[in-house]
Amino acid sequence: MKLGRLGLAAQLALVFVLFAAGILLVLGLLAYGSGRAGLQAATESELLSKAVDIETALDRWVAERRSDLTIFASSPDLLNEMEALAAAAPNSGAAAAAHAQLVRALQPHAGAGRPYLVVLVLDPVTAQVLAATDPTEEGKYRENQPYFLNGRNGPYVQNVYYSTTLQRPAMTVSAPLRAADGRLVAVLAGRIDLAEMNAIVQARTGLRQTDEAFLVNSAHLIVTLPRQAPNVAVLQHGLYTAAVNQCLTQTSGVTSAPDYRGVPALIVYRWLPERKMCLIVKLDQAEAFASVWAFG
Amino acid sequence: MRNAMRPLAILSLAAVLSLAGCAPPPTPLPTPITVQLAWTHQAQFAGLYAAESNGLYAAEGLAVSFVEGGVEVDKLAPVLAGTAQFGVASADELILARSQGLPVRALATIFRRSPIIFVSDAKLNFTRPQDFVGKTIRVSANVVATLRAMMAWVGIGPDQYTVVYLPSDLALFDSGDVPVWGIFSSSFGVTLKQAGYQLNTVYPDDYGVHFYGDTLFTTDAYAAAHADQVLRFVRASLAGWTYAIENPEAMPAVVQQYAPAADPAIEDAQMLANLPLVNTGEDHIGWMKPDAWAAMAVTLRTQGVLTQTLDVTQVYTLQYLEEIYK
Repeated sequence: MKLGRLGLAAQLALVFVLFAAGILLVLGLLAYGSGRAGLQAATESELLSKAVDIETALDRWVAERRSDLTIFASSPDLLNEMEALAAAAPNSGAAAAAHAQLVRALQPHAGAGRPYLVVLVLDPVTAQVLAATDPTEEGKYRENQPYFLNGRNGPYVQNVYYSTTLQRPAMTVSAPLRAADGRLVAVLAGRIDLAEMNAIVQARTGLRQTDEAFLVNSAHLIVTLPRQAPNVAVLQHGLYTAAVNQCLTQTSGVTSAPDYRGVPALIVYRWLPERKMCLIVKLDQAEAFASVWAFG
Repeated sequence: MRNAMRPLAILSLAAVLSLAGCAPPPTPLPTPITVQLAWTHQAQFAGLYAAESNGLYAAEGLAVSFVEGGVEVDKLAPVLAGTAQFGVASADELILARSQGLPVRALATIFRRSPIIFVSDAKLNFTRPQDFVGKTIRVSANVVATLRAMMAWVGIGPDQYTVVYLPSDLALFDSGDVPVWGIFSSSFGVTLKQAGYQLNTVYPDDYGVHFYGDTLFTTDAYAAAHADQVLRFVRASLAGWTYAIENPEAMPAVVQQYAPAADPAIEDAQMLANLPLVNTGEDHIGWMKPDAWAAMAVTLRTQGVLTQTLDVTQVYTLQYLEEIYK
């Protein structure tokens, strides 16, 4: 059928219909774009807010652990037990009794549901573990560990590090144990339970179906697990996604990119200078844009 | 007819000659390079295999081949003799060799955390070095200095235990004839775990020994005469290791190109065990710290393992790492 065979009225009607359809299409695209941009901005804002919340909660938690240990290190009872051990002749009955007493003083602070996984008392010169809530730690040396070297001078937090002997990440706080005259008697160290760190990070997610938050260390290894991790083995290999790579250059930002599963996601990455780790907070794009995609 | 063809023939010849003149110069043949490995083919050397299989050595104009090591293989000798241009040895071996006047030079450290551990059947209840007194301890050339230093740290002299050089062999371990084994956690350690042994582990790191592990080295003479080749070899090797670290799941298949009988599950587990040893999250892959070298020499000297005088800065050079990572 040729247009020329239509009457003028019909031709005008067709032109108006096409014109109206065009306007509708343009308006639709504009509305879609605007809606998508609005949703993206809102989602980014939501993710950023979660990231800030997590960072604040982590800093508060670490500060509490550091403060707990510092208070414990200034306990007169602990000092007395330590001085009794130092005064006893090596390998004597008195030394064994003082050691047992010291370990008893440490035990309420370590174990499941307590502030630390393990508490250690280190010789201030040799760094030998003199007493510990985990007996397998005793007799070992920590002379090159930052928590020992810095813990002699004041309260110290050793951020997540790879423990060669534990063969997994660890985090330790330490504080000097000083006599009344200021003499350094020992270094007290407490290994923090990273499961607590995981719980803090996870607590801020779950309101959406696909939102996730997790921490990655400077070796690209996962420190706290993402909720949707397909299997742990994949994560043991390390993450080299665009967001993680960018974040580990010690920068923060937002990106739309495939996540560790290859699924497109809106990702907020945040370098945590105090923790020297990268925080990733993300949401699948499919969920973030579900309403506009339904409209489209 | 013959005369008529002559100008055409001359023109054709001229054209061919001029085209030959315009052709790109022939690609120079890649330089053959031999690398003496510290041990048999396995994931311990994954990054070097990755450099070869991904064409990184070829891109640097090198044709690299690898020679397996083993318990009875002197891995320094081929490099010193020039039959291999590069080798892989532990940092303490290089310190001790240099102290004996051998002109070895460390170029880059691959295992910046030592994988060396001492294992025993859990039923024996050996939990610390003091429990090794009077026992026989299996070692290899790259383990023995760590053992000596660790034992000396806790006051145990070399006359208080016996060392025996053995291959990392499951049947030998299973026989129980040697109760303590000095091994790499990332290689034979993985094999023992996969075989289901319940082990007690003593870590040298707990007893004052913090050595670098596998280190790429050459000789002073080779480095002086072929500085550019050394740079290209180190650059490609580190790029290979970077690839291996970022793609560990791909490594079992690469290792199998060199060790066809290798079990992919074990190689995968070995590769996972390698990750924290190679990529510490500090500095670049392969990076070496002068302080760490100095501390290793101090430990070896304090524990009586290093007896000759030595300027430790002569054991290594940062020249190539600084050029690569500038």
